[in-house]
Amino acid sequence: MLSIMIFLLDYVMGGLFVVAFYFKKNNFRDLELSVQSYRVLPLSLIRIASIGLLLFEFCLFISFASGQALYYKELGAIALLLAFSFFVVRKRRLDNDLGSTCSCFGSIGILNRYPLSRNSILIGLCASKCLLPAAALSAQASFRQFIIHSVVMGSCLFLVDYYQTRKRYIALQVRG
Amino acid sequence: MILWIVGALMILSVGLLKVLVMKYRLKKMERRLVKVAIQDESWQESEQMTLMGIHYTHPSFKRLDELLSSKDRSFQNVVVFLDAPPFIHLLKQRAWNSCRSVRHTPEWSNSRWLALLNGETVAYQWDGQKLHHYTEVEMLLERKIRVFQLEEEQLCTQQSADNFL
Repeated sequence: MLSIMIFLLDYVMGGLFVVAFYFKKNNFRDLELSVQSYRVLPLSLIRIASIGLLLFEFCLFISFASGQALYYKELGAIALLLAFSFFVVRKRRLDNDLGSTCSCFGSIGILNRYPLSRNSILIGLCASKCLLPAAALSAQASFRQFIIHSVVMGSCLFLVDYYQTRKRYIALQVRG
Repeated sequence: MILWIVGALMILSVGLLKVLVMKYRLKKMERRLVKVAIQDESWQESEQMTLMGIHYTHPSFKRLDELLSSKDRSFQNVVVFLDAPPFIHLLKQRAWNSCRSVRHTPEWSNSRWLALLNGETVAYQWDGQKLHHYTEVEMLLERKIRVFQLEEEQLCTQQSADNFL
């Protein structure tokens, strides 16, 4: 029972991070624009910061998918989410504009909409996972978990991307 | 165990291949569309331009209006297709006059640019070879202004250094 819960929590967190990574990577230029709109970095560092963010999210996905790096990955995830929330609050205060959404999930508009509440829910999830007693997974079990996780997430993402691209291709073919 | 790995790799690589092929075909078609549209306008293919489609009911319209009405000199290569009632278009054509051209979408319904835009409020930037797609149009404009200011400052300091020497 406990191991199922841990598996599911790992799955949800890893899934969210890989979806965020995939859609951010697809709209890399938009990511650069978002990073520069927070005005914390000089223009020359924007590209490096965006690539670093993508790599970090991908590493988090790998660690959640394989179930390794106990407690470190939860700490990393909580730190990242706190950083995101901090920057959103700072930007809202700077611009005096309460309606900012973050483009964290690219085309899936639903998850973009309430970044602060969404981040706090995720932080709560991670923290509650830390409270559960967890035993380190054996190498074979974590390998198996990783393969299942990456195949399922990979095929879902590729399918969604394929159909979105094809829809646009057909639209252009008709009108152009 | 090996079987699992091989199976997983096969599934993932098939999916990835299909996605990449589709994206490549889309990019090629978009590039061809842009080149033909540029030729229709008799512009140079190698010059930079920014294509923007704006719908007046889009939530970011107010912010876009503010930015474009600031008549910043960095907007020289911006072509805007505004989808709005005619009186709004006339107002904005005058307000946004640092842009290369502000066009009224219903008048240009055959344009290839509009086919590319597909009725969304997005921006495309063409640098002579590659086409880049941007969904956050107001951030793109803010960055243009910022980059232009930075380049001007650098030019000024360089010129004053030259004069000094």
